[in-house]
Amino acid sequence: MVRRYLVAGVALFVVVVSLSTGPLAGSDVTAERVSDFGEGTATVSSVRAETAAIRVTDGRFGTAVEYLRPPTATVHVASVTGRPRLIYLVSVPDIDVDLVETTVVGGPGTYRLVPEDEGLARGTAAAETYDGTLTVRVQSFTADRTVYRENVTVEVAT
Amino acid sequence: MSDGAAVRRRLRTLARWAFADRYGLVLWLGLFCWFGLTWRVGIFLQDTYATANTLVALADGQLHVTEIRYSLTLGSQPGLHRVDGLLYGRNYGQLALAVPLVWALEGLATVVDPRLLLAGLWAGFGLAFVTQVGRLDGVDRERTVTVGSMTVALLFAGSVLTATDLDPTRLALAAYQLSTIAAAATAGLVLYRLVADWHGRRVGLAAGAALGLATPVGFWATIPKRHTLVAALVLAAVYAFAVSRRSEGRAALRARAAAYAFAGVITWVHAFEAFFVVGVLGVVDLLTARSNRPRDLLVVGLVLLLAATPMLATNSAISGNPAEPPRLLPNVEGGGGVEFSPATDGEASGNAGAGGERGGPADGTDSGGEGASGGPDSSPLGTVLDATGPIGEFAGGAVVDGVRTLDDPARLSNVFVRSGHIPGVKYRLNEYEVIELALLEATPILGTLLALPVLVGRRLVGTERRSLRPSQPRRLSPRRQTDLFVVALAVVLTVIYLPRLPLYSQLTVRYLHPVVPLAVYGVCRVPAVRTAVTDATGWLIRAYALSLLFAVVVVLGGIVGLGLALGEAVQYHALWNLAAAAVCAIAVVGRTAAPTRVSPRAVAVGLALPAGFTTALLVLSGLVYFEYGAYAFDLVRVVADLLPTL
Repeated sequence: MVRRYLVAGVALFVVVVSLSTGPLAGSDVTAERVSDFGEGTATVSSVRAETAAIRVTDGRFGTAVEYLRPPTATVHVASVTGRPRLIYLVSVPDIDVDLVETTVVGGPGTYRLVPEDEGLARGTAAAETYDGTLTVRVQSFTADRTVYRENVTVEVAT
Repeated sequence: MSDGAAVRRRLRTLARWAFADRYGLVLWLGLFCWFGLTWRVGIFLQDTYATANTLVALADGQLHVTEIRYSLTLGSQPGLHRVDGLLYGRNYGQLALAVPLVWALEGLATVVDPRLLLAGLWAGFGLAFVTQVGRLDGVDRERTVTVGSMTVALLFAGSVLTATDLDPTRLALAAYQLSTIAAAATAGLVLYRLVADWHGRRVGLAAGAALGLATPVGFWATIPKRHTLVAALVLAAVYAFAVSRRSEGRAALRARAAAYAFAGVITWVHAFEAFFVVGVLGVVDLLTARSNRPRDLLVVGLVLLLAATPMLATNSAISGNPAEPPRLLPNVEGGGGVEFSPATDGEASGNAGAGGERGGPADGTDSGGEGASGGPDSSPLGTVLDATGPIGEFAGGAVVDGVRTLDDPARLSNVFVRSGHIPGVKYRLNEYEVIELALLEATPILGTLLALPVLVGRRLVGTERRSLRPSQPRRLSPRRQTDLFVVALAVVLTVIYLPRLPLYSQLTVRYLHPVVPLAVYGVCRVPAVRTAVTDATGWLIRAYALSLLFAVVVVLGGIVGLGLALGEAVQYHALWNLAAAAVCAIAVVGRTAAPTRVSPRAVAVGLALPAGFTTALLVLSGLVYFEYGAYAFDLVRVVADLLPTL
């Protein structure tokens, strides 16, 4: 008999919660999407990126393309006001690569920004090295500060 | 009191008609919940923008698009057609199916938050699933229902606690996706009924579950393209055909008419594919029917006409010509993505000559029949006959071109066996991510079909001893007649698309999607597979669970350990799938050739291996490989955030 009440109870729970949080009842339980940023700023204590690790290598497992493999940026945030975001840019103009990785900063702590490897048509990176830039910025509706900027040499290892 | 009993009885009759038995219902509900797990409310392929906007228009009661509710960039809407200054979409049959769902979701959204509406819906299906499972024979009812409903309550509570905003304007899109989820679950159900009729419930359930868990049907379930619906309707036509062959009298005629009805409705979704389905059905049906009396043919013909009426009416309302589907009408030029807007006249079959040049003009993401538009008569009086001329010509051309591609083994291997970097495919459009899989990589369980030549060979040798004359189609058993229909459908639906393949934006060779359920039917027709399912069920289930676990571990391990990019990860997974397909093929062919040497348990393990890897492909496609839209259930988003990204 327990199970009958249990199923009815769960069904009732679902219905009641759904209705009581609906537009008519007015209690909103849905949160803002975490990808949405707002006003405010953050103090960054340090940024670390393995600048020597950036390179172009061959795609594996039969992909037969080339990949620009950007390094991960590790950002230590000391303090935060509001809801700013960190933005990490990897730019290699000569092979037309501009990677952007962002994360919203909710509080102090360590944030890792891992851009995706960028696929390139085979033969795109014909030179042996390319010049690139890594940039980290703190950005919000009210602020935009560059907290890290490093020139790097992209080695082509294909 | 008696009223209640009568209603309940009627409901039960209805449920029996739709689901056959409680197992069918459990399968359908289970597949529905499973597809929902990785559902993302969003647009995966560009041409969905146009159809989703058309759905919005259709739900408002008009055929032409006035509101661009969904848009990536301004002006980029491949798949819209312009007639007399009005914009029209395509695949109206599929959209019509989703219209009631749009009304339902948007209506309910007046009292329930959109996000919680989806979570509540999922919880409702989950509860129905656990209560129905609890009523199956041999299941501990008390425990199943207790544990099951507690799990549902926890998942729902988790979804509510993590809920994020979902814009109410996304609900039409969500309804569109729900319609293909329902179609995919129904395909599993129909396959269950088809296979269970021949080989018993256990094999039927395994077939239905495998379709959702171990084939790309699970991949496309939440992506509202036509393929899922066409696959389900083709399978329904096969089922009705099978029923018509094993029934007598009126029931047989009813089922025969139903087969034409299902095939006829496809015309409303995609006239080009429907043309071939109806054609194959007509030929096989007339050849194998026990009676082709004028009365039978009249009934069947009328039903076909009736099923095609919505299509004819829609076409007539749009272009004035009932035989001219929107697909054949002039395209609106897309603003941004030139590559994604299909070419109109005549270019579609341009790669036929030119010394077997690979790839050809990859003219569109979804160009079913552009080649046919030799400017058919568009006067209001233009009859069906006027326009079937060019369509017939085009259809014939598609078959001839398709057959011509058969002498290019490298190309066939790229489509069916191993993808890798396929020459001629425009990877630029995917930012050089090599994510277009071959059919076997996406559906490694089809390795089983290697046993078919052994079976056919053995039968031929056997027949030779008995008589050299092949038996007449009319005298074949209902099963053989159904086999004949399935093989004919699979061959024709493959051949007509071969001239266009390999192509970008296919992922699992989606143009061949309707063939996948037919191929799974073929898998179930292999005796070695059936004995493994019936005699070693426990092994099958345990090996599947282990295989899934193993697959997730090795693939995620590879992604993290080797630092794979998206294309690399997908190809790495594909190679594992191929290896699993090889093991599966060896086990099944071994059992078929030497039944004493290979045990059903070994075959069960062989089947479970590719099934587990494909389930992992579906899960990882949902959580890791492909990012778009917002997860329907935020709880799943939380899990996905914990996994490595590519």
